[in-house]
Amino acid sequence: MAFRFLHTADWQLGKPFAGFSPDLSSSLRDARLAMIDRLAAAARQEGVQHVLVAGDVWDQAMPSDRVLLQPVDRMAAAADLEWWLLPGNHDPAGPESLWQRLAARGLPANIHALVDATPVALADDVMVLPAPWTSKRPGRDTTEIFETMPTPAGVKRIGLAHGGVIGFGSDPDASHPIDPNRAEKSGLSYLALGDWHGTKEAGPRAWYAGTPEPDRFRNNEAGATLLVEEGQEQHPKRLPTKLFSWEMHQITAERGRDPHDLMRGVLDADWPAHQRLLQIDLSGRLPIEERRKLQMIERDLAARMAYLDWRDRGLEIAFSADDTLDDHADPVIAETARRLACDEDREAKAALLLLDDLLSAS
Amino acid sequence: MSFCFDAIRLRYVRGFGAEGVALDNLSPGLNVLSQPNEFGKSTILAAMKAALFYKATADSKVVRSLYGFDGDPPEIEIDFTTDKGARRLSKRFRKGRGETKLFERPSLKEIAREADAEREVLRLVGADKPENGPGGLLWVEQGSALSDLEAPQKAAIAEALASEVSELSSSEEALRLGQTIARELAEFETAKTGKPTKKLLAALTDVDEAEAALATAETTLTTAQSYRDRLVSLNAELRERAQPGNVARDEEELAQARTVAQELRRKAESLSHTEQTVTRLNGAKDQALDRLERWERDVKRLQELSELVGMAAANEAEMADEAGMAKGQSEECAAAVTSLELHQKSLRVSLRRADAFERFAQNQARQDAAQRTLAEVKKCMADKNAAAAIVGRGALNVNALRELERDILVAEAALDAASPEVELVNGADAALDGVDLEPGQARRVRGEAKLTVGAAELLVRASLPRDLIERRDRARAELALQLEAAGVQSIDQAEAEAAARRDASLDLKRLDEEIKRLAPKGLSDLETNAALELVEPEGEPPDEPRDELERQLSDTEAGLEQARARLNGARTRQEEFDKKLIVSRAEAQVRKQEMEQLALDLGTDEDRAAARKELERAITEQAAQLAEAERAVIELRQGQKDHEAAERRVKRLEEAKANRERKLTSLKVEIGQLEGQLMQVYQQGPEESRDAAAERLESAQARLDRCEARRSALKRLKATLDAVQSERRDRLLKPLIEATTPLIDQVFGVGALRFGADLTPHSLEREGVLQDVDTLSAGAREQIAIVTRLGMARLYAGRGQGVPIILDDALIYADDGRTDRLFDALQLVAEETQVIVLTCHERRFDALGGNRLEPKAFLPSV
Repeated sequence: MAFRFLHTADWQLGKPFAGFSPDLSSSLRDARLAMIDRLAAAARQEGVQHVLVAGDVWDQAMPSDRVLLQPVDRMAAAADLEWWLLPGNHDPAGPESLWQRLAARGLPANIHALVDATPVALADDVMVLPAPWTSKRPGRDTTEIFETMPTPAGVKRIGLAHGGVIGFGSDPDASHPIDPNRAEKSGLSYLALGDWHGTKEAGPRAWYAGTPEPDRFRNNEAGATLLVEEGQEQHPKRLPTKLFSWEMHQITAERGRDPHDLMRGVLDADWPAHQRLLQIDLSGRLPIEERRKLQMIERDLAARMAYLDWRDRGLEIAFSADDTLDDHADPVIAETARRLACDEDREAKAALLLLDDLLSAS
Repeated sequence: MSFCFDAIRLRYVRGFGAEGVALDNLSPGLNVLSQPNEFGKSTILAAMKAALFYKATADSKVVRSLYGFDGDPPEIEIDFTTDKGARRLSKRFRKGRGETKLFERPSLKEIAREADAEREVLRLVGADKPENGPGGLLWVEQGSALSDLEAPQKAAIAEALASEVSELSSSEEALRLGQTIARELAEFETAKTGKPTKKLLAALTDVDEAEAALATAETTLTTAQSYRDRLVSLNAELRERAQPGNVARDEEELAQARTVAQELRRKAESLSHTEQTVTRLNGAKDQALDRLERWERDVKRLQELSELVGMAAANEAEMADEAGMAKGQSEECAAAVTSLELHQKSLRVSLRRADAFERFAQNQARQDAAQRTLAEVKKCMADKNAAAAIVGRGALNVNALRELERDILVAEAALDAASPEVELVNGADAALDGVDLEPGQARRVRGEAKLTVGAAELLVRASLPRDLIERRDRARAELALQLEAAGVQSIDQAEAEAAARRDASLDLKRLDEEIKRLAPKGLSDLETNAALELVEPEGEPPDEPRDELERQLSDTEAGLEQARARLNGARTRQEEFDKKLIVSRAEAQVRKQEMEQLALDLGTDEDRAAARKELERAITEQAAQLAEAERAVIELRQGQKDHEAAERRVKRLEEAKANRERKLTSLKVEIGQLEGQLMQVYQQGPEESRDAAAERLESAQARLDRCEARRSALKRLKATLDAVQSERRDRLLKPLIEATTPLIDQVFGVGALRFGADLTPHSLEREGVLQDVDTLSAGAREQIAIVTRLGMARLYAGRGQGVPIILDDALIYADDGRTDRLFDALQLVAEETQVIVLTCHERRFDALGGNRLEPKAFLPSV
C-alpha cells in the first residue's frame, strides 16, 4: 500500500479572539482546539497514521500552560496516530522555548517535536526532513539544508518546512523566502509547507495545507488538511476540517438590482448560520429605497449569523429626483435632506443616511 | 376685520351695583383709565370678555363670578365699531333666561338678539373664545404679561403669520425629528457642553481601559521575555562552568598543588625539629660556659679571700685603737656636763628668790587697788539704796490727776455758763464784788455777788444747777485726796515727783551696771582681795638683777646643751667603734672559714689544671655540634619560603574552587527562581493576554469610531435641520420681527427680538449679541412680552384687522426711563390700533397722555 499521510499547518492554538463577544470568542477557541479531533477523525477515515504539522502549532512563543498542554492531551488521546510537530515562526524552537517546556514535561510517545534539522524515519523507506525555526528570524531559507541532509538510498524524502515562498506566505522573513523548487532541488518527494493559511500549491510537489480551522477573513481556501499519497504528491487531496466559516464578501451595488439578488451569495451559503462569521464590504451606488431593503437584510444577518462585520462606508447612496427625501411631506425635512445630499463630504452622506434611518424608524 | 371699543357700561357686576359704571367716548387711539385699587378695573375687563364671548344664558364659573354682590344678574353694554359699522351689544346674564341684543348705532336699531346676536358678535370679534384669536393674544391682564404664550395664542400668531409662509402647518414632523435627534445625541454628548456621555463615554472608557490593559500586558510580556533571556544567559553560563573538562582540569591543578605543598610541609616540620636541636645545643653550650666561668670565679675568689683575711686582721687592730680613743673623749665630755649642771642649779635658785620678791610687791599693789574699788562700790550701793527709796514711794498717776483737774474745769465752765451775767451798759461807778465794771463789760455771778451802783449796793443771788456743783466738788475732793496720797501739794508737784521717780529708776539701772563693772566677781571677792594678808620673803634679794640672772642661766643652759651634745657624739663614736671592732672580728672569721672551704673544694693546683682542661674540651665539642645544627636550620628556612608559596597556591586554588561552587550554586538558585517566575508567567500566558488586549483595544476602538461616526452624523443632521428651521422661522416671523423692531428700538435702544421654534421670543439681539430672554430681568421680560403683543397688534392693524390691545396694570416692573419709552411705544401703536390702558398709578401714567376715561353712572339706553 502506498504511504499516505496528512499534511496540516498553522494551527496557531491559543489565539484569543478577544475582539468578539465572550460567547463567540469561547466558541472559536474551542473550535480551534477541537480541530485536532477532527484531524484525527479525518486521518482515521483515510487510514492514515502520520500527521505532519508544518509549523505554527501554537500562536505564541510563550503560551500559557493551559494552551500548551490541552492540545498535547488531545493528540495523546489519539494514540493510534503519530503527530509530527514542526516549530514555526510563531513558536520557534530554541533555548527556553515552549518546546523545552514540553520536553521538560515529557511528550507522549505518539507526539514528536521536530526541533532539530535531522531526518527522522516515518516508515522503513520514508523519512521526514524537518526545517524547524529556531528563532523568530532565522535569516535564511530554512530548507537549504535539505540539499545536504543525507538519507539512506532509496528512502523517500518528505520535506517539512514553514515560511513564505516567493509571492506567498504571511511574510515572517520575507528577505529569505523558501525556494519553490526546493522539492526538485533537494530530491524531495513532497514538500509540506506551512505559513500560508489557505490551501495553495507553492511549487512542484510543494503545497501549503493551510490552517484546518480559519481564524480570519480571507478568501484563501482555509479550513482543510491535505491527504498526501505516495505517487500522487503533485495532487494532494484536500479534506475540509473547519467548523466555523469565515467569509469575506465584497459586494458592489448596482442601480436597479434587487438587494436580495445582490446578497444572494451570502444568503444562500451552505453552512450553518450560527457557525458563519461574515465580513461584508459594500461598495457601489444604491438608491436610498434600495438601501432600506439592504438594511433589512443586514438586520436579519446580524441576528442569524455568529458574527457580522457590515461595512457600508464604501456604499454610495443615490439621491436622485426619484429616490431622495426632498419630496418628503415636511418641507423642513425635505430641505434638510436636499442640503445634505448636495454636500459631497462623507459626514453629510452619513447624516443623510441617518436621517433616512430615523424617518424609517418613525 | 378691524375692531374698536367705543364705550363700556355695566351694572350688577361684582361690586358695581345698580348705579354701575360707564366708560363712554373711548377713542380709537390711546385710552387710559386711571383709578385706584379696588375700583374694579379688572371687573370691567372681565365683563368685556364675558359680554363678547359668553352666552347670556350661561352658568359657567366665569359668568357666576360676575354676579353682583346682591346676587343681581349682570348687565353689560358694549359699543364697538368694526368694518361692518358701529354696534352696541347689550347683554343681561341669567341662567337659562339671559338676554342678548345687538343694535346698530347710532340708530339703536336692533339687528339681532340672543343666539344670533352672540354668533354675530363672535364673527365680528374673529374668535370664539376669549383666549383665541387676536383678542386672546392682545388682552394683557394683570400678571399675565410675563407668562409664556398659551397654545391658542401661539396658534393665533401662527395663524397671523400663515399667510406669509404657506408651508407653516408642515413643520411638526421636523420638530419631532429634531427632538429625536436631540434624544439620540444625548446618548453621546451633553447638550450644553458637548461633553461625552453615556454611549460615547462608555466607548471612550472601554478604549482607555483596553489601552491600559494592553500596556499592562506588554509590560508583563517584556518582563517575561527578560526572564527568558536572563535564563538563557544563565543556563549558558552554567553549562560553561559545569563542563566536565574544565572541572577536571581545575581539580588536577589543585591536587598537584596540594602534593607539592604536602612535601614542603614535611620539610617545614623538620626545620622545627632542627631549630629545637639548635636551641638545645645552645643551651648545653651555655651551661658548659657557665660551669667554666663558675670554676674560674671560684679560683679567683680563693685568691681574693686570701687577701681579705689579711686585711680583716689589720682592720680589727685598727678598730680596737679607735674604740679606746672614743672612750676617753666620752669621759671628758661627761665631766664638763656635770660642772655646767651645778652652775645651772645655782642660777635657778637665785631666780626663784628674785621671783618671790617681785610677787610680793605685785600683791601689795593689787590689794591697794581692791581696797579703792571696794570703797567705790560701797558708795554706789548707798546711791542705789537712796534711789530705790524714791522708786519705792508708790504709784503716782499724773494722768488721773489731770483728768480730775479737767473734770473740775469742765464743771466750772458749765457753772459759768449757767451763771447770770451782769453787764454795765453805760454809765460808770458800778462794781461787782468790789471790782469796777467798765461800760460794755459783763461778769458772771455765781452764788451771791455784791453789786454796787453808785451808792447803792445790791446783793445778787444766783441759783446754780446742783448736779454741776456736786460734780465739781466730787472732782475737787478726789483730786485733793490723790495729791495727799502722793505726798504733793499740786499737780505740778506731782509731775515733778513723777519725773524724780523716773530718774531714780534710771539711776538704779546705771548703778547696778557700775557695781557689776567694779565687782564683776561680787563684793565678797573684792572684800577678800582687799583684806589679803601679805607675807614678805625672808632674806635679801639677789645681788644681780633678774635680767642678768636670766642671761647667765641662758648661757649656762646653752653651754650645757653643747656639752651634752659633745658627750653624746663621743659616746656614739665609742659605740660605733665597738661595733666595727666586733664586725671586723666576725668578718675576718668568716673570710677565713670561706677561704678554707673553697681551698678544700678546688683541691690542689694539679686538680685545678685538670678540671680546667676538661671544661674547655666540653665547650669546644658543644660549639661544633651547634654550628652544624645552625647550618641545617639556614638550609631548611630557605625551603620554608617555598612551602609557604605552595600553601598559598593551594589556598588560592581551593578558594577558586569554592568560588566556582558558590557561583554554580548561585546560578542554580537564580535559574530556579527564574524558572519559578517563568512558570507563573507561563500559567498566565503573557502573549495571549497581550494579543487579547490588543484585540479588545481594536474592538473598543472600532466601537468608539462607530460612536464618533454616529455622533458626527447626528450633529451634522441636527445642524442642518436647525439651520433650515431657523431660516424658515426667520422668514415666518419676518413680519412680526419687523413689527416689533421699531418698538424694541424705542424701548431698549437698537435691537431685535429672535423667536424660537415655539414662536415665543427667546432672545434679544443687541449690538450683535444674543441674550436669552430667560436670563433677563423680570422688568425686561415683562417689557419684551408687552412689546411682542404690541408688535402683533401692529401686525393685525397693518392687515386691516386692528384689534384693541388692553393692558391691565401692566408695566409694574418698568423703571421711570423705561416706562417713558414704553409710553412712546404705546403712542406709536395707538396710531395704528386702539390701546386701552387700565392702571392704578395715576400720577405715573399722567405722562402717557391719551384719552382719559372718566367713569360715570350707567344709564341703560335700552
